[in-house]
Amino acid sequence: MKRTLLLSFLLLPIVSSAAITKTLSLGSTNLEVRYLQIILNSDPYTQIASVGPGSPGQESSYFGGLTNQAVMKFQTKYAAEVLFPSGIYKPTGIVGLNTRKKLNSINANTVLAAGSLPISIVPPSIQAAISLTSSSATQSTTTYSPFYQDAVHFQKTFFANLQPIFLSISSYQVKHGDVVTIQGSGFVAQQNTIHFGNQYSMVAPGSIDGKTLRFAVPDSIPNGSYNVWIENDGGSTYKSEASNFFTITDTPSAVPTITNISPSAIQFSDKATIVITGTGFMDQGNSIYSPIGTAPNLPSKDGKTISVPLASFSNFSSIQKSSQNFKGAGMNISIVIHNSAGNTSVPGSFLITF
Amino acid sequence: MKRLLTIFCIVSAILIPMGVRAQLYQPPFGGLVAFVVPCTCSFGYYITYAILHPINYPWVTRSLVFQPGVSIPHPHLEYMTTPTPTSWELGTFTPGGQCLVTAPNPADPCIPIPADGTIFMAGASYPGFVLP
Repeated sequence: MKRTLLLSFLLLPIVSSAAITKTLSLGSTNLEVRYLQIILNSDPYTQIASVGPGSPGQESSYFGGLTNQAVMKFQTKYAAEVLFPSGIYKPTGIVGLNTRKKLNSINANTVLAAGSLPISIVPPSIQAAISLTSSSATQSTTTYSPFYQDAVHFQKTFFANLQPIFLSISSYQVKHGDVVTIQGSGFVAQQNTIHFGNQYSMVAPGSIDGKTLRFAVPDSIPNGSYNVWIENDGGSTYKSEASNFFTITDTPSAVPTITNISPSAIQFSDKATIVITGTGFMDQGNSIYSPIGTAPNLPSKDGKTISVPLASFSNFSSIQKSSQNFKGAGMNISIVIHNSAGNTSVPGSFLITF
Repeated sequence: MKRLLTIFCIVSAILIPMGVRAQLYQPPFGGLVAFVVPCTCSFGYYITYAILHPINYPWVTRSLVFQPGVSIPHPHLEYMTTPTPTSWELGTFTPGGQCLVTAPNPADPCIPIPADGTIFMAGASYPGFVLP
C-alpha cells in the first residue's frame, strides 16, 4: 500500500507534465501536439506515418493533415467513449474534451508504461517504477453495457437527419429521362438541389427517409460529364477533387451485371481462377469488391467475361495464413463489380472451400 | 479445436437466449470471424463469419457490417474496433445493410457492398487463435 502511494506521487508529475490540456485541431502548433503524436504512434492503427515526418521518433509540434487523419482513426476506434457521449457519430479530427480524456488515459496507462516517451520526459528511475505498477494500471478499462436507450438510439441513427452526405449513386452513365438513385444521409423532405458541375442544377423530389434521393435526369441538362453534388439547408456535398464521374449521353453504357461465376465452388489456392460471365464489362478498369478484398483494374476482352485469379484479391495472403483454421469449411463469397458505368446492383457469388 | 467449439456452444446456449429476450427484433448470430474488410467510406468493418449459431454444418458464412455509431460493442470493445480473423463472436443483428468502400478516386461516390445485416450489438473472444 505504502509503495503504491509512493509510486502514485512519483507518477503524478510525469502524467500531468505530458498531459494534453488544450483543444487541438488542424493547424495547431505547440508542444502538446507532440505528446498527441507520440500517443497516436503508440498504436499501429492510429500511427501518423510509418516513415518520415510524424513517424515514431519524428513527432513534431505541428498538427497537420496526417495528424488530423490519425485523430479521426483514434475517434473511430474509441467512438463509444469520445464521440457518442457528446451525441457525435462521425469523427471530427478535433481533440476536444472527451478525446483528450481518452488520450490522456492512454498516455498514463500505456505509453508511459511502455516507456515510449523520450527519456527526457520519463527519467529511468521513474520508468522502473512504472514497470512495477503497469500491470495494475492497465486493468482500469472502461466498460460499456448496452441498455434499452441504446436500442432506441440505434433505430434513430438509421433515420437520422444530418448534414447531407453523398455516399453512392446507382448509375454513372445515363440518358435524359433515366431515373437515378443517390444514397447518402441528411437529405431533406423538400429542397434538395442537385448540381451538375458548377453550371447546371435541378431541385430533386424530397427524400422520404433522408437517405435516398431519386430523380429523373431532366432534358435541361446538356449531354456531358459532371461532378454531381447536393445542396440543402444542412450544407453541401461539394468536393473539388471529385472527377466528372456522372455522364449524360444518348448512348449510355449499361451497368455491369453478373450472370454466372465458374466454377461455382473452388478450392482455395494461389493457382485458382474464377471466370465471371455477365454484361456491361469494360475493356479496362473493372474492379471487383468482395469479403476477400479488392481485385482492381481487370480487363475484359469481349465485354462479357472477366477472368480473375484468387491470388489477385487484396486479402489473399492474409487469408492464406489463417486458412488452416477453416479446413473443411465452404464459404460463400459475394462480389460486386465496379467500372466507369456503375456497380452491379445484384452481387454474384461463389463458394470457396478450404 | 473440439474443446473450443464445446466451450463456444455452451456459452452460446446461455447467452443467446438472454439476447433474444432483450432484443426481440434482432436475430442472434454467433461464429468464427473469417474475413474482415474495412469499410473505408463508412468507417466500419465488413465481417464474414463462419456461422455456428443457429447450428450449421457444414459451416455457412454470413457477412455483417459493424458500423461505429450504430452497432454497440460489448465490453470487449478492444476486439470489436480491430476485428481479428479467428476470434469468436456472439451478438444480434438487424437484417440489411452495406459496407461502403472508397472508389478508385477517393472523392467520387463510394462503392456499396451489400451485407446480410448490420450488427446491433456484439461481444467477442479476444484475441483470436491460430492453429499450429
